[in-house]
Amino acid sequence: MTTSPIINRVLWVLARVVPRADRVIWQQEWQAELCWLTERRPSRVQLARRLASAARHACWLRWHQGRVEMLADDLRHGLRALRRRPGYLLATVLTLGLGIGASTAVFSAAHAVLWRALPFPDAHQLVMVSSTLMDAPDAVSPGSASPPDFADWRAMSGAFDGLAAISEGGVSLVAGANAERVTGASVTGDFFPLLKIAPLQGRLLQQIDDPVGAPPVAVISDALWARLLNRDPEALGSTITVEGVPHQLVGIVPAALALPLDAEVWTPLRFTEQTLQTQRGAHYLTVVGRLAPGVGLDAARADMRRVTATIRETLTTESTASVVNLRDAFVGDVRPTFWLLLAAVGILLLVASVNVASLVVAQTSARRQDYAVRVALGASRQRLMRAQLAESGIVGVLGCLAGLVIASASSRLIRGFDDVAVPRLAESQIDWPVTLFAVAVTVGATCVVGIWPAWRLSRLREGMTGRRVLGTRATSRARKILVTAEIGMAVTLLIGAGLIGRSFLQMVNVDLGLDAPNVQTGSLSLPEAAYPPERRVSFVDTLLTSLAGQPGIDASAVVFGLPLSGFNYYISGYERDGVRVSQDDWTRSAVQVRVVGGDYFRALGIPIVEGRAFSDNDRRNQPPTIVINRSAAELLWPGERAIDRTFTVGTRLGLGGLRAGGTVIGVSTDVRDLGPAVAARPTIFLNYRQFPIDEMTLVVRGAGTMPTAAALQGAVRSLDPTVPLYRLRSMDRLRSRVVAEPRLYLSLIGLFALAAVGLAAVGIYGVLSQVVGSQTREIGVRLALGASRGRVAWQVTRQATTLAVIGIVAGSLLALAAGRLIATVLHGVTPTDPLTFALVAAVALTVTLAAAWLPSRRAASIDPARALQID
Amino acid sequence: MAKSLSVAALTVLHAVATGTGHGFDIIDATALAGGTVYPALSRLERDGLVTSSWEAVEIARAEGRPPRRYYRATAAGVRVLNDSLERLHALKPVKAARSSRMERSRS
Repeated sequence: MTTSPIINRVLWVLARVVPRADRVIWQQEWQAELCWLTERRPSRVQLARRLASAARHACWLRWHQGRVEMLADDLRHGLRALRRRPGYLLATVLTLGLGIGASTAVFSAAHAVLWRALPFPDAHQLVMVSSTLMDAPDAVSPGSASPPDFADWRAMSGAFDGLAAISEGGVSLVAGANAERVTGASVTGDFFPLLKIAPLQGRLLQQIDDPVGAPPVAVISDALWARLLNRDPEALGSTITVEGVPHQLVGIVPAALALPLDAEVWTPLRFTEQTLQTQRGAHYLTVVGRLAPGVGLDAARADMRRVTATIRETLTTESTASVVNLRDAFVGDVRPTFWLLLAAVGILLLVASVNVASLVVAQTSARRQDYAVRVALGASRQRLMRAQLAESGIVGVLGCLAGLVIASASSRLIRGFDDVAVPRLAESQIDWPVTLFAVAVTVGATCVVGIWPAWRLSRLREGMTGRRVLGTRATSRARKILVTAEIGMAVTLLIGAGLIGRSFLQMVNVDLGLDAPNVQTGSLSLPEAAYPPERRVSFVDTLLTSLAGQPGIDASAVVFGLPLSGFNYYISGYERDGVRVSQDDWTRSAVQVRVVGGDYFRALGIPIVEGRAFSDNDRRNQPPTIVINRSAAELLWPGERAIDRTFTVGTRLGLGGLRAGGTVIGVSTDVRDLGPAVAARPTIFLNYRQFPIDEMTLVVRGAGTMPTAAALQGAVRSLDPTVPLYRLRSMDRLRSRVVAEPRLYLSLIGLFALAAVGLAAVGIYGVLSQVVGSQTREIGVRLALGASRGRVAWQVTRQATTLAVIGIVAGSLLALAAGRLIATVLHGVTPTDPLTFALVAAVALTVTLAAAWLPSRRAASIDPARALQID
Repeated sequence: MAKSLSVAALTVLHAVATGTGHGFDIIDATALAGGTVYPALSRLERDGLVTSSWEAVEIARAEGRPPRRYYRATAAGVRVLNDSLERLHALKPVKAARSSRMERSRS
C-alpha cells in the first residue's frame, strides 16, 4: 500500500518549506504517517486535516531554524570578533558615524527650515497675500501690499476667514524705569484672532482697536514682560511709551509667537481715510490670511485674480496678488538650496557607506580560512551570512550613536552662523523626527555595508577553500568597484563645491559700486510727537555739523534706505517732465526711492558722473531737486540728457505732499544695494531737507580709520539723550553679511566634498596596499627576472589611474545630470563650467596618485630574494 | 533542562515515554491536533528529551509501505517528565475562592 500521487505531490511542495537539513527526514516521516493513515481509509476531511498538520510541522521547522538563540549567538560572536580588531571597528564606526552625523545635521536644519509647521493652530491654512506686478507675478516678498490694496482685498474677497496687515519696524520703548529698542509691529485687529493666539495675560489686540481715534493700546511679548517688568501682573493696565507715544498695556503675548520674526511689541495698525484714498503705491504692509474652511490655495488664488481684475477696472494699476502658504513665504527661495545640501550630504553618506563596505570586504577576505574551516565543519551558508550581517549591524548601531553625537555637535555649529538670513534655522535641533531619520539612514547604510559582503559569503561551498570567492583576486576586484564608485561620488561633490566656490568668489569680487571700508553706520528714529518735520531737519543739520567738526571724520550723512540692509522701497512713477506717466509706463517707470542728507555720496564713495550732488544751498523751501543713478537715467530718459528734467513718484514722504520728486540736478553711478547677486536698480535720491522723514541711518566715513560707535552715539546723545542710536554696523560687516548665506552653503558643501575625497583616498590606498601585499611573490619574480623598479611602481600606479579615470568620468556625468539643481545657487557661473570640471579632474587625479604613492613604492622596494621565500 | 514544557509537549512526551511509537498513534492517544504534535516532537528531539529511529526496512518492505519513524524517550526525557509530573501533582484542586469572596462581600 502506498500513498496516492496527489498526496505525494503535496508533500513534495511542502518539503520546499522545510530547511534543507531536515527535508529528507521530514518527507520520509510524513510519507510513512500518511501511508499508515491511508490504510485506515480516512475521510477527505481527515486526510486534509493531517496534511494541514504536515504543513504546520514544515512551517514550524522553518521558523525555528535556530532563531532566537542563534541571533544572540551571532551577536555574541560578532562582538567578540570586532573586539579582536579594534582598529577595524574604530575605522568603520567613525566613517559610518561621519556619514550619518553629517546627513542627520543637515536633515535637522532642513526639517526646521522647510518642514516644521509654524507654531500656530491649523498653520496649514495660513497664507501670505502679496501685491505683485502683472508681468512678475512670482516676485513675492513680505511688505509688498499697500493700505488701499489691503482694504480692497478684505472687502472684496470671500476666500479668507480673515486678512490682517502687519507693518513692522524697530521701535523705542519705555516701560517703567527701563527704555529699550525692540522689534515691533503694528497689526490690524484681525491679526491675533486669525493666528488663533490666546493671551497669556489680559487681552490681545482686537477689531475694536482698529478705528482711528480709538484709545492707544499695546501688547508685549512674554520675554519683554519678564525683561522689563519682572512679569509683574500689576503692569497690565499701566502705561508704556512706544515711539514717544503713551500706550496702555493691555495684554501679554505667549512665547510661541514670533511673527514678524523677533517682534516683541504690537500696537494697532490704523488707516486714515486719506491714507486709504492716496497711498495705493505705498507698499509697506505684510498681509497674512487664514483660508476659509474648504478653500484651497488654488481657489484663493482664483478669487484674488477676480478681485484684482475688478480693482484694475477702476484704477490705473498693473498689480495683481499672489497667495502662498505662510511658511513657504517665510522660507522662500532657500528651498532648492536645502535640497542641494541634502543631496550633497546624501552622496557623502553613500561614500562613507561604500568605504565601510570596502573595509568589510577586505575583512572577509582576510578571514577566508576561518570561513572555510567553519563551512567544512558544517556551518550553513545562511549561518555565515547571518554572522556577517550581525557584525555589520553592530557596526551600524555604534555608527548611529557616533552619528547622533556628531550631528548634535554640528547642529550647534550650523546654528552658530548667526549672521545668516535663513529663517527658522536657529530652531534646528535633534528631536524625534530627526532621530528617526538617523535610524532610517543607519538601516539603509547598514544594508549597503552588509549585504554585498554577506552575499559573497553565500557563494561559499563545502569543500572549497574559499579562494575563488574570497580570494585576493575576487576581493580586490570587488573593492576596486567600490573604490571607483567612491571616486565618482567624491568627484561629483567636488564639482558641486567647485562651482559654488567659483560663484562665491565672483560674488565677493563683484564691484558693489560703493567704498565700504572705514564707514560706520547706526540707525535712529525721531519720535514723531517731539519732532515735527521742521525740527527733524534742524536736528539732522546740527548732528551732521557737529560730526563734521570732529577730528578723523571725513564725511557724514543720513539716509533712509541704507544700501545692503535689505531695504526695498519701489514706487511707480507719477509724472515725468510734467506729464502724467501713462498706464503703459506705470510698471516700467517704477524706481527705488531713497532719502539722503549731508554728504551722502562722498560718505559712501559713490561718484557723481554728471551734474552735482546736493549742497547746503538746496534748502527746504526751494523747488525740490533730486539726484538719480545711471540706471534711472537710462530708464526714464533713454539716450537723452537727464539733468534739469523732472520726475515724481506717487508717495507721501516727509512733509505730507502726495508726490515726491523734483528736478534732476545730478546723476550718480549705480550701486548694487541688494548685494552682489542682484543687479543695480534704478534709484532716485530725494533731499532730506525737502522730505524730512523720521527714520534714518547715520553714515560716517572716517579719514583712514573706522569711526568708533561711541563717537556716533556721543554726537546723538549730546543733542537729545532720549534718542537712541541702534543697530550699529560697519559697511564692511553689511557687505560680508550679504554673502553670509552663500558662504554657509559653500562651507558645508566644501566640507562634505573634502570628507568624501579623504575617504576615497583612504579607499584607494587600502585597495592598492592589498593588491601589492598579495602580489609580493609575483612582483619578486618579475624583479628577479630583470624588471626595473620604476616599471613595477608604474604598474601599481596605472591601476590607480584607471580607477580614477573611470571614477572621474562617472562623477562628471553625475554632476552634469545634477546641473539644474546646482544652478539654483550659482551666480555668474554655468553648471557646466569647463574650468571647474577640468580643475576637479586634476585634483582627483592628483589625490589618486598621492594615495597610490606609498603602495607603489612598497612594490618597488620589494626584495626579490625575500619575496621568493614567502610561502 | 531548565525550560518548563508546555502541557501539550508534556502530554506528547508522556505518550512517547509510555510506548506510543509514531506520530499518528500519538495524535490518537493524546487527542491533540496534528499541528501541535509534530512541532512538539521536533522540539523535544532538539532538546534531547526524545530520540527517533527508523523502522527496519525489511519490515516496511514486507508490509509494502515506507519505513516509519519511531520515537523513544531518552533518560533525560523520562527525568524531565517525572519532575514535571511531580510538580503538577503538588498542585491541589482549589475551590472557586474568588467568586465566593465576592459573594461574601456582597452579602
